[in-house]
Amino acid sequence: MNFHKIYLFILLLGSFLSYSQKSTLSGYIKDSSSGEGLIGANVFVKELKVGTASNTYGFFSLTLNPGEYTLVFSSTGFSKMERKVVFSGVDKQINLELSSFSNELAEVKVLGRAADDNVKSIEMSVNKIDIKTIRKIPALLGEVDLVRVIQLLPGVSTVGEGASGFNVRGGGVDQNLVLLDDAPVYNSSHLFGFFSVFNPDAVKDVKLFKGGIPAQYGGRVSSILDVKMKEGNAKKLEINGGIGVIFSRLSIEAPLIKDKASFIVAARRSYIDVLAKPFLTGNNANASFNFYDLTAKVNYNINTKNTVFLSSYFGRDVFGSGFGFNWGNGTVSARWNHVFSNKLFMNATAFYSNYDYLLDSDLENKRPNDSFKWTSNIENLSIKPDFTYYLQPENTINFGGQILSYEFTPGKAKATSAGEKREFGQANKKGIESSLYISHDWKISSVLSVQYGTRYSNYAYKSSNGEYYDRIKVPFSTENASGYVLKVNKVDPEAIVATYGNWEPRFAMNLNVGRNASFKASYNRLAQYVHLMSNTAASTPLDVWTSSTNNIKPQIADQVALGYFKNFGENGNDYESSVEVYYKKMQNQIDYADRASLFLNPFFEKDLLFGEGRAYGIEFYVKKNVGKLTGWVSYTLAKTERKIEGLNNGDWYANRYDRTHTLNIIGQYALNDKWSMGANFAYITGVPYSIPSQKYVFEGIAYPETLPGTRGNIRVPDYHRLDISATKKNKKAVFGKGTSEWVFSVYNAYNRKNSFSIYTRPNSDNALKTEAVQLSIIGSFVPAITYNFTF
Amino acid sequence: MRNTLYFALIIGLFGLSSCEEIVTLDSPASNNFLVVEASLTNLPGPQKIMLTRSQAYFDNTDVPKISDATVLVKDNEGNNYTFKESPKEKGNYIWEPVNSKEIFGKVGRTYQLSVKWSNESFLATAPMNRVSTIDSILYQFDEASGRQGGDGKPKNGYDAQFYGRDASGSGDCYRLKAYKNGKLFNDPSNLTIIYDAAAQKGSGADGLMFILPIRRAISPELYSVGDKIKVELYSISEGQFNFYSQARLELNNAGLFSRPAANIPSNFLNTNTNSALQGAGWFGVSAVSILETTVDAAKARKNLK
Repeated sequence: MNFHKIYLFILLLGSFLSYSQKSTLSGYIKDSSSGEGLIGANVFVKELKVGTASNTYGFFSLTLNPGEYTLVFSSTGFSKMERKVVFSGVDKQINLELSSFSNELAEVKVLGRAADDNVKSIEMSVNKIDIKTIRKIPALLGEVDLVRVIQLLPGVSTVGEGASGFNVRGGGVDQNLVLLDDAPVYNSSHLFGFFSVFNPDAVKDVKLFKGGIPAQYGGRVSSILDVKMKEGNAKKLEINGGIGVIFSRLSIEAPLIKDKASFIVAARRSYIDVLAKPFLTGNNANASFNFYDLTAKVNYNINTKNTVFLSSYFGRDVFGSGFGFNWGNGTVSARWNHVFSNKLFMNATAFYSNYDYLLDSDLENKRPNDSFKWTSNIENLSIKPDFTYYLQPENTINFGGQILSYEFTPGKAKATSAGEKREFGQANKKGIESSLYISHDWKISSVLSVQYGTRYSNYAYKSSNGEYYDRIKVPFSTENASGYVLKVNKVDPEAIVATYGNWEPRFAMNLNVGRNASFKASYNRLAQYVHLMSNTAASTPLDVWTSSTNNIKPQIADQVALGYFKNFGENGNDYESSVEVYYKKMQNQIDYADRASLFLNPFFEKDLLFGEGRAYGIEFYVKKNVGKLTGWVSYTLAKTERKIEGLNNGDWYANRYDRTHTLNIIGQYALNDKWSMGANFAYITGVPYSIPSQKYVFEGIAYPETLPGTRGNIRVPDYHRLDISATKKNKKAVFGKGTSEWVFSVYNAYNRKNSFSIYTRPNSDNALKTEAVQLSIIGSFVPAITYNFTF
Repeated sequence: MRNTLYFALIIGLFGLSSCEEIVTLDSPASNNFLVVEASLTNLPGPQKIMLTRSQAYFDNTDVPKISDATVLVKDNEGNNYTFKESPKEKGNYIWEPVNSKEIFGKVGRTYQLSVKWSNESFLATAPMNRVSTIDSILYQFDEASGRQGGDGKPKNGYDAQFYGRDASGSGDCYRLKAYKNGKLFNDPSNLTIIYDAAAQKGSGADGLMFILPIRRAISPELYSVGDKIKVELYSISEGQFNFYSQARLELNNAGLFSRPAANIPSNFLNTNTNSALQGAGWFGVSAVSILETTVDAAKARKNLK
């Protein structure tokens, strides 16, 4: 058994570690103003020129030979701290607080990393964006939005304005694992795709892994978006809020026991419905449409060895006018940080995650005899221990595992016609994903470091309803557009119908070349066992997550990436730059036959088609970190395609999110103490679309004829857009306390009608005639004002 | 379902302004196909088959008619029906009953169409399936919903429903047609097809009263007192259901939640699959139920929906 080998390796490693006479210094590095743990703060040993960095929780561990050393603790945006420490063979603990030297608003508590982190660290294809930067970027309707900012990074794109989710290096929206305090979020959007579910007031740190994904992560094949929530101010009461065009926000954080325990509660609600109410009449008078979310977290620092966190998110979009349509995510995660010894750190997480929606034609129960109600959800429960073993400054071992259970309720419908009831839909399913991983970070020399490891994941699928299906090949026909029919087999409902196991090797290396420059290379393989059934341009809130089954094989992606990273400028790190190339190969990609019926259809596996995908590209990135003008420029040249049996004559075709050129320019300018300005510009190649090959007239209407092999025969015009914003800081907030700011913004400043799609249709006055229509989701400039406060 | 999403999107975008613009594009190059349009029925009178040619997608000239074809229909009981080209209307092929009692179709039979034209030979097959009866048409006074409103349409009036029950036994498919004062509602969005008593296969609706959204589909706009409402229910094969189903998807495929364009299937096939001249359209044979009523304020109901 494969697991045994890993255990054996861990055991051997343990015995190999125990001989040393060195001693270890460990502890937490925190922000002195809020008590939040500092992520990626540097600990540098002056005499030895070696160092380490704090982890996600601010914990670090350093093992050295006996002697006296000068340790320098630093983090961008914080004052450096030097400490003389004697390593005498006895382990020691130290807890430090660094103070921020920025005297800006309290909301800009940056969780900075070392200035040369991008060059020195082993990570590549990773973007870290602090919430301060996110806040400065002009936003649609003035709403600071994490996912929209992610879409400005190299290698990240979207199928179009208003589409939910994002595409990373040619991957689908369902290939991103979006984690909120370790719990997966299945739909990261409010209002389809216009806003993301993350409340900026509650977000501490955002990290997007596009490649070189470490072994501790798995479950999706394209990217990991790791969002960490704030822990809550452990020093004093802090209230943040804002009033905008779409949302109002309020968050409260405070210590429960000073420096020991704190909490944060943050809420947002949209109020278009409140504003629109006077304009609604008649049948629409009771229309409701709003979205809200609530984020809460508590942490308790029990002692130097134990800290516990409990965090929760709940959000919902509600639409309806007589009928009801609502959807949302909920997550709860509990985490326990435990320091076993100065060298062994554990974070154990248990989480629950749920995404569900409801459609009800008769919300007010007015006509129970003719109604339709449809519910669907996906539910997760998981335990995930992660360990870090700080062997020496040069050697760190990460290992751990996860058990993740899935309960799929893909769709249950209750329909009543003239008082007669029927129930139908897809059967529930169950799955268990188990994984183990180990990886080794090894600084081989002052110029070369590697990280290598592997993850083993295993998936077991249970059909729950005592049926599973075999796909039988038949000739294509209008009834069987996929060329398959299903044969129904009976099985014990608790029996495992299909199991899959995958080794997922990971490798990354960093070779320092010259001052502030490095070459990096990485390879990763990832496996994905759950899939979003979506056949529309933008995924809809109704799309259903489904399990791998005996027919639906796990998606697998292999990616190699090479990069050159260089920092330059007067102080060495004023500018960051990088060039990365990647190639990604994806197996078992899912597509859909004509007329695929994915909702409430127990036999939807008949309508699926399978094939492979490939994506490659080159990404350029330059970022200016200091001075009055900061920002970045990124350019991506990329291609993403798939080849599916039964589609497009079996030839390669471009994915709907294929964007050849993507240019993003993001800038912020600090005019003076009061005013700052922001601008961003995007230029993106239009997405591929299809227009019909010919038309014919049938029953007085021009019908389109689309011949095989014509997928993506046109592209919509290129997309470009400029957004600008100006922020005015006030010394005082409303009640004469705290601070506040006004944010004025214009989205799509030069009023371009960017097209989301081009489609064809019969003319509405004469259905024999045809025309092409260019659709712009946002067809004008959008001004907005937001007021933010903190006290 | 998609309508619900659009509705939600439209209200959600209060304040944001999506917009549509007509643009000019070149038609892709493609061979033209031979197109059949035939909806033969068991109603008294002549039956008609139309043959045309497809055009480049943005070619808005008149549809080319196909003349001088040999058009023959056979049924599985050995009867032959010859369709002769109308001297008045090119491309229209007509079968005339020998006397007023002769009816073309019969439920349970299968019909085969053969067309010979320009050295090419096409075949299509269709069954005539059973159809349910329409029991009644009822209406109530109401204001127009979002779907029923629009330029030149009544703001207030009678919202009508037809009542009928799907025959028990899964797989009955229907095409619904509604006429106001003799004029068929024939906008692409009015194309209503039914699988058992619901809109889709797999809805578990076998043997039910046609579900509410289907019953209300005869009122794409409101009716006024004195208006004649005529409802026709055509039995169609599952193949034809798929044909219309795909046509409806392709004709209304726009926006955030559009799907990749796909071909509308056809049962009109060239016996030579390698020929550049392939077939399109559908040869269908239907049993038909019809009910007609005139809107009378005194007969209006309440609480129908």
